[in-house]
Amino acid sequence: MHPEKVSEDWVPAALVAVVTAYAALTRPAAIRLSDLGVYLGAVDGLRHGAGLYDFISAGHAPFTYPPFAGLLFWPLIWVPTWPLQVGWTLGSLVVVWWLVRLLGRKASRAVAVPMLGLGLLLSAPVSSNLRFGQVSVLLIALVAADVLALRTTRCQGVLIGLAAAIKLTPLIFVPMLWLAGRRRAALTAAATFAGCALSAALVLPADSWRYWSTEVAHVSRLGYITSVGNQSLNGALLRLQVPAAPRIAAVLLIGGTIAAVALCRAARLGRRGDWVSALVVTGAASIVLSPVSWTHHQVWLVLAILLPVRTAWHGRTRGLWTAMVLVVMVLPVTALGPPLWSNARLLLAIVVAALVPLGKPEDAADPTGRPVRRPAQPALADDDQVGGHDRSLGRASGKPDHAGRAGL
Amino acid sequence: MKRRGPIGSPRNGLGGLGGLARIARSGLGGLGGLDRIARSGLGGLGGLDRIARVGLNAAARRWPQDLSETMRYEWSAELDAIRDDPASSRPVRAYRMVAFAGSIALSPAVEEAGAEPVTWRDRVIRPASAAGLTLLAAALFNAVHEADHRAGPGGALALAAAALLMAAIGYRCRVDAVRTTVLMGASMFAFLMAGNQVAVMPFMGWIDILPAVAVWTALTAAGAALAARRRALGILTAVAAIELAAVAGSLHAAHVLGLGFGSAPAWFPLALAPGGTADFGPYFADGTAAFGRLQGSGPAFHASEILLGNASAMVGPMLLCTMFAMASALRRAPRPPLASRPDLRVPLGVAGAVAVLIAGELMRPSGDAAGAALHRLIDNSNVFGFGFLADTPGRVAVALLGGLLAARLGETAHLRRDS
Repeated sequence: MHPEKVSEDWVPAALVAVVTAYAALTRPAAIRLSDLGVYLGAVDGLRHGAGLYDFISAGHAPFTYPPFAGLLFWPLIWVPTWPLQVGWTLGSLVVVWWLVRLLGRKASRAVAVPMLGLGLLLSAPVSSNLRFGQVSVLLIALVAADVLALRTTRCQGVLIGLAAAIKLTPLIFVPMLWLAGRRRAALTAAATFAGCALSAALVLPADSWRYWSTEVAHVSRLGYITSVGNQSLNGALLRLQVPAAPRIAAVLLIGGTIAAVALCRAARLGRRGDWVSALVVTGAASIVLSPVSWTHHQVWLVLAILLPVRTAWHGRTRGLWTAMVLVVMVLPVTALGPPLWSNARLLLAIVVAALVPLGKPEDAADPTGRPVRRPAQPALADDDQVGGHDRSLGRASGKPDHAGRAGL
Repeated sequence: MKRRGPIGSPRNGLGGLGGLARIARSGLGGLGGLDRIARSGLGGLGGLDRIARVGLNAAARRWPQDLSETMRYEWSAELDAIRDDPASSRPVRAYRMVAFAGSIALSPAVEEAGAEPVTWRDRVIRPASAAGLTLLAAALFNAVHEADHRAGPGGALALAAAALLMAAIGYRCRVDAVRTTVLMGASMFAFLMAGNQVAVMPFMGWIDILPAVAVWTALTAAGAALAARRRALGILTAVAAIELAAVAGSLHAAHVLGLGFGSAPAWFPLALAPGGTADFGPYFADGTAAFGRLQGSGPAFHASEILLGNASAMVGPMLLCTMFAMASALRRAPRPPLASRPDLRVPLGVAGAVAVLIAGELMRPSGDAAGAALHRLIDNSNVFGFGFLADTPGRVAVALLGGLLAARLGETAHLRRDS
């Protein structure tokens, strides 16, 4: 690719990043980066002798993460609020940029990496992460780094274990590793998770006991979980006012089945080297199965545009797939009303996890559906074989390169 | 572009393809009922087929005359192949027909021989860049007036510096000066109308803005077009453009204020000067102003101060835009190559957007208190209304424009190393 084009294509994403950060940081002080405020408030309460789970923010939001997360957030209470909020926002943007670079390079479907970044930044999950000062995008980056960057090292599993110790949802990636044959990594992840939980229990025994014995099952603490912001299966059933017993049974039965199917699919994808698709499919399953899946949890669904969807005719399906994913994840479709639109992202998660047919990596095309010219290489049985290949090459579509033009 | 000649005529260069094209075209209507029956028998896609062909015809008309019918024929044949594809189901064929015709209809037309291709990206970037330049000119002119107000004689230097900056940007950018002038005129009109939702100028309705912008756009574009062949005439036309725009934009104000038109030639230069440089027209000793949306009182003033303050909101940015357009139009020789430099488009774009957001925070309108408005009119301290910065969406939109413009300027500098 022409070097000028590489830089130029990042301009829209960079500008959107600036205005998104600006919109997040200029919200009224009382609601600015409110979830970051919860983390800090809970830890500050801890410093003053209160329990980690006693804190309730002005927006009635309690601290809901495992005690280990409280330990990690501890150093932040000494940073002044405004610089911390700016740093947190900029850090989140850097994480998004890094995640896009990593996934764009490793995806089995060729994509224009800057356009992937633009799509992510415009999406509801990433804007939600930035607006609330959430930690979700960092956890997703940890999981992706573990699976994609540490795959050939003995450390694989550490980052997934760490992410799960901060927030439980990434635990679903442990069975994915196991089923995909990465059993050592799965054990490492489980051991890391247990080690983190144990270390938190040593430092915060009362809070740990309270969390693991009570708060972990106290789902209603997580906020207005009947709102359309919760796109889990449990959330949809709550909106349908299904009584507790059949709802839990349905979540375990239907959600469990979807998760099982997704894990099998992910294991198969992982075994043939398509780890990005394995991550996306498993991440979608976590959204279905988790009791609460807020908007900022749903970054995996935006990344579904990276899936090598098997096509019916000449790659055109992939363009439709990309458009559909972006429409659902960028536009506020859940506000359009029940029953279909208010659960649109849950439906997408189910489709990604269990239904959409996925082709082999060599079927890949770019997001517009055009076939991609690839350098001759063996089948992508192992993503390491293509680690150095810049997937943004897929953007080339036979259009003339106008890099020599400088007109306004 | 000339309209196409008769199909198959030697003049349009179709030659042997003329007959084929005629057959293809006749398929659109010449076969009449048989054709319709055939199409309806192929899955009931006749309606969609007709819609698709409307798109193809519209696209073909944008091509050069000697290629138009050939392209129409080829596209028509492709559409037939998609419609009749036995391997695809009806919904699939329908989708593919719409996608094919839509992509053709939305594709940019082919460029004339020797011209640079125009992409949809260009079609977005050009108006955005012109809008960004217009805002830059307006912000610079407000800064000039602020310097006028605070630094006295230093204001003239600030105006010269702003004019040189715009000229330098125009010199560096390879643009079509005429088209950019038209786009800047359209942006100017939109920003003047939107920016004064917070009332600063009593005479800033369409009846004031439209004549000024129309005169400036038409004559400056003419000046830019002339400058390529006759520099002096082009420059004179551009100067006349701004002079006449000041008059055209102030006629309504002069009428309401009771000012004669004898002083009209001086309105443009005086509009650039600080308030109080010249006093003429009726004197409002009690400081009470009741003009349009401006209903307030302040220090005593002359009618000229209101008129000139009002005019400067329009002609100040126009002057700076003229500097850009004419510098771009007058640049003839290829620019000298620069030493290799790093690609700063992304950092510049980010810096531009951040700078605009910070400026937007600083320039938030202070309100539309009549007293404040009157003061601002009389001392010419802050003339171009940035009312659209009052809300976050407005600031975000302007930041995107600013960032885009900065990135494009970075691109211009970066690519010069290869020129």
